[in-house]
Formats: sequence, C-alpha cells, structure tokens
Amino acid sequence: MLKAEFKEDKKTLTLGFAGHIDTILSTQYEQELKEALAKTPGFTEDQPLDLDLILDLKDVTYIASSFIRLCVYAAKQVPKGRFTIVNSNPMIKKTFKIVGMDDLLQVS
Amino acid sequence: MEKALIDQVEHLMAKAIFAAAEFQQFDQKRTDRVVESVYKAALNARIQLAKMTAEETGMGVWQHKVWKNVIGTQLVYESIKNEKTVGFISDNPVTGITEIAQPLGPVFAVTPVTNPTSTAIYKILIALKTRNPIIVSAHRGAAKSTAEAVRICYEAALEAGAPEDCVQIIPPGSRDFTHMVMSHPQVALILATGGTGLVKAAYSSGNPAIGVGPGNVPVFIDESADIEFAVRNIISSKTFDNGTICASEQSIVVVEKIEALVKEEFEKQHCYFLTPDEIKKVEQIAVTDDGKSMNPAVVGQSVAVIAQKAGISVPEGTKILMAKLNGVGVGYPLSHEILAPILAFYSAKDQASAINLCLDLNYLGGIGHSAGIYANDEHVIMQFSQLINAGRIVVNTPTSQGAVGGMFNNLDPSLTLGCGTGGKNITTENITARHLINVQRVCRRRLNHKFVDADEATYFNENMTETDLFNAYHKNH
Repeated sequence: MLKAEFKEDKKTLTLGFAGHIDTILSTQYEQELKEALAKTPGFTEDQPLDLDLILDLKDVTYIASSFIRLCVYAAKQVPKGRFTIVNSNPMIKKTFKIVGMDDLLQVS
Repeated sequence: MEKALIDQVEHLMAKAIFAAAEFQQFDQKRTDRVVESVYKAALNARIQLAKMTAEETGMGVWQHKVWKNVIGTQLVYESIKNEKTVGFISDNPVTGITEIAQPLGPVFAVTPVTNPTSTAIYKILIALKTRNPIIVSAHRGAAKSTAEAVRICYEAALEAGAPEDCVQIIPPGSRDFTHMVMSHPQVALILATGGTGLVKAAYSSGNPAIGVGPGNVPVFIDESADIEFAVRNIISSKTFDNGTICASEQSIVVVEKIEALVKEEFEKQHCYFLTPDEIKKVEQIAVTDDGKSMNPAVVGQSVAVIAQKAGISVPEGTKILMAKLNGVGVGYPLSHEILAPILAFYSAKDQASAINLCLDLNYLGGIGHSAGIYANDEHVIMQFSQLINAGRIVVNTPTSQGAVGGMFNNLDPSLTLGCGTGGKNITTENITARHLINVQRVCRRRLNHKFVDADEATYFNENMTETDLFNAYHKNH
C-alpha cells in the first residue's frame, strides 16, 4: 500500500513505496500514485503540480521496468527539478543508472 | 534517416535497456527458472517449428530440423543449466581472486536462413541464462518461423517471471533498421551468425561482436581408418538437413592406395560419382558466375532437385553427388563451400600430399572453421591437427554434428561456431553462455615478494644488467 504524506507548508508530497515491486505490484502502485496525485490540492489534469514530489524507496528491494516507467510518468507531473527519488538501495540505484535515468529522476 | 525509423529503433532499444535494468536484479535461481521455462516451451514446439521452417525456407528436411531444434534447446540447456552465470561464480582463497558474473546488456542476435529457429532458441537461452535481454533479427527468408520461435520463447520467459521485453524481434526485411540497431550505442554485443557481409557489418558497427566465419570443411580419410564407418558417418553428416550446416563436409581427401575402396564404399552406400560432363553441369547451377560462391538456389536442396536443375539423371535414392576433382580453387568451382549434398573428392599420392590438399581446401575460404579426419593412427591425427587451421578438428566423427558439439564429443553444443582470427573472429570456441558475461575480478592483496622485496636501488643502477635484475628478482635469501 502506498504511503502518501502531503505537507502543505513545505509544498511537498512524499510517496513511500515498499517491497518487491514486480509488474503486478507496479500496476497497483500506478493506480495508487495517480489517486494520490489527484487528491493533492491544486491538482488539474493538464498543469504540473506546484510542489516537490518525493518518491521514497526505503523499503524497496526490487523494481520491475514498469516501475521505472511509473517514475518517469510521476516526474512529468511536477515542474522540472522538483522530482526526487530518495533512500534507494545500491541495487535500485544501479537499476536507474543502467537505464540512464538517475540524473533525470534525481535518484539518491 | 527517416524519423519514423529512428523513433522505432529508439523505442526498441529503450525497451531493451529497461529490461536489462530489471534483469540485472535477478539472482541465479530466478534466472534459471526463466531459462528452464523457455527450454521446455521451445522443446515442446520442436516439431511445429521444424515443419514451419522447412515450408517457409524450402530448404532442408523437416525431420532434421527437428533434431536441430533439439540441439538448440535440449542439448544447449543441458550444457548450461548448472553453470553459474550470476553473481559470485568462483572464489580462490590462494590467489585471493573472486570472480563475479555481470550481464552485458542488450544482445543483438542475427539468425540465418539455414538454421533459423534452432539458432534463435539457442541464442535466447544463452542470453537469458546470463540475464541479457535479446533482440533477434531474422533472415528475411525465415522471418515467420523465427518470429514464431521468438514468440514461444518470450511467452514462456514471461510466465516464469522474466522482465518485460527481455526478448524482442525486429521487423523483417529492413536493412536500415538492422544496421541502426547494430550500431546503436546501447547494444552491448552482437551475436552475428550469417554470411561474411553480415559478420563484417557487425564488426564494423562499433559495438563488440561475436561472429562466425565461412567454412570449407576438408575431411581426410587416412589409410588407418575404418572405411565403411568413415563413409557411413560422412553421409549421415552431409545429408543432414541437406547439408545446410556450415560445418558439413565439403571435400573428401584420400590416398591413392585406398581410393578404389573408398569410392566403392560411397557407391555401395548410395552416393553417385558424377562424370566429368555431369560435373560441368552441376557446377553451372551450384556456383554463381564468379565461380567462388554457392548459388542460394541449391542450398539445402535434395539430390533429386539438384539433379533436375542440372539436367542430369542419377539413380533413385542417391544420397550425395560426388565430384572427383583434380584441383582446388580457380577452375574448380565445386572445391568451394556448397551447403548442399554435393561433395568434392580428391585422391593424393601419399599422406603428405593428402594433407597438403586438405590445407589448400582449408585456405580456400574456410580458414579457422572446422575439419575432419578419419584415422586410427594417433600420429597422423596429431600431424593433421597441428597443420590444419580450424577451430574444431573432429576425429572419426561426422563434421556437422561433431562441430556443433554435445552429441559425439564434449564440445559445447552451439549454433555459432567461432572461427578464430582466420575467420575474422575473436575466438575459435563454440559460443555459449559463458561468452555472454562480463567477469569482474575482486583481487585481494597478495604480495609478489620476489618483486616487492627486491632492492629498489638495483633497478635504478645503470650498471645493473638484465642478468643482475633476473638474479635480484629470483633471489631466495
């Protein structure tokens, strides 16, 4: 289950993921991520959200390629530079490295 | 370049690189589950794929294509299933070196028309075993059957939890597309099995490539050989799928002393020696106008079809057309490689002349590939083997099946046979899973005391000669 935490004062939305994110779990997370974004104050279909979007991968042990695509989708929902992925373990970090997305998605 | 084409290639490569990223997280157990699933599905499809290939290509014998599919699935699987290909693969506490297998990344696999489904399956198995996504490019003459083999393998891989897009195939018939993928910076390795032009293109792409070389397999029957056995084995090899395996026998060389016996045995076993006039007729249809290259129209065709094309009449049930030739190269078109049941036949005055003839044939477009010898004299086997330039010298064995490995010897079963530098390849080995990993070596500190304990000043003293340095290095205090 996706953990969503919105801090209005700091204008940040942190989404916490966990587990072995295979294609099936990734599909579930995609749905939950979209719902979380839709619930965020100021959300519109065609404008980027005015906030920092943080994906916390602290308890993630594996990511399917569909999850990387989900991260790319999420990054497009906020202005450039306001998307980050945090707490990725080295294996996950390397996975983003291999696809050449670690800079774009600001993976740490 | 057309933008739509570029977009298509980029899309394909993006999918491959995403699959590579996911795949590198697999452990050995998960990887092996995927490989097992693909092997089972492909083996179950061996007959349907064989029939489909024979029908689509119009080459070979479907029953033999079943065997080829079995080689590409069962034999390949059995040879790789217990291999360590993920993570720590060896650890030597004495040297302090630990080896770690890393995947390469997307592999681009070109497959031939002569062995299409078997080659595709074999390449998919070795790529998945090493956690590499694979992109297959099928020969246009076998596009449908190769695509079906790829589909079966991919679905089986997905069922076992493999990453999406770990197996892809490019649209058939687009040379530009193939070349763009080949030279794409995200392709990690090209596995090029095909003609010389294709292999050269792969090596020129800027990406690492493992290719094959052309063959022109000479087989020497020594007087110490069991002639009936030798002829029987040669026939089983040269008629296998109507001679489409590039390691199939191209020329038989004997010494005069046993020529009549060998000839008689070939005839007894239903091979037909062409008359000089018939040789001319066969030359005209078997070789192209340059007199050097086989005519694709005869590749994988039966003796009956070839005889009909040549306008000659041969006894019903003839297995191989034998052409007794007096020379090699210019003026002797049938001394070149022809992947069909046509065999050149030579007689030499003695053993040395016979080996010389084999060398002439070997160097006529088949350097580094394969050769065969039938003998029971170890001395002549070793003499022949040291002189001939071939990655595989198969002894008392049909060369088609012998070079492919896994049936008559302990070579790695493979449908991509390295031909060494003679064939413009990096290796003479049968290509298998171990060629598709990057081996990282963790090197723990183990001092070379001979070096570190030597007096440094000795090396900086101009009066010290190499003998002094040798003594300093080997000093045993």
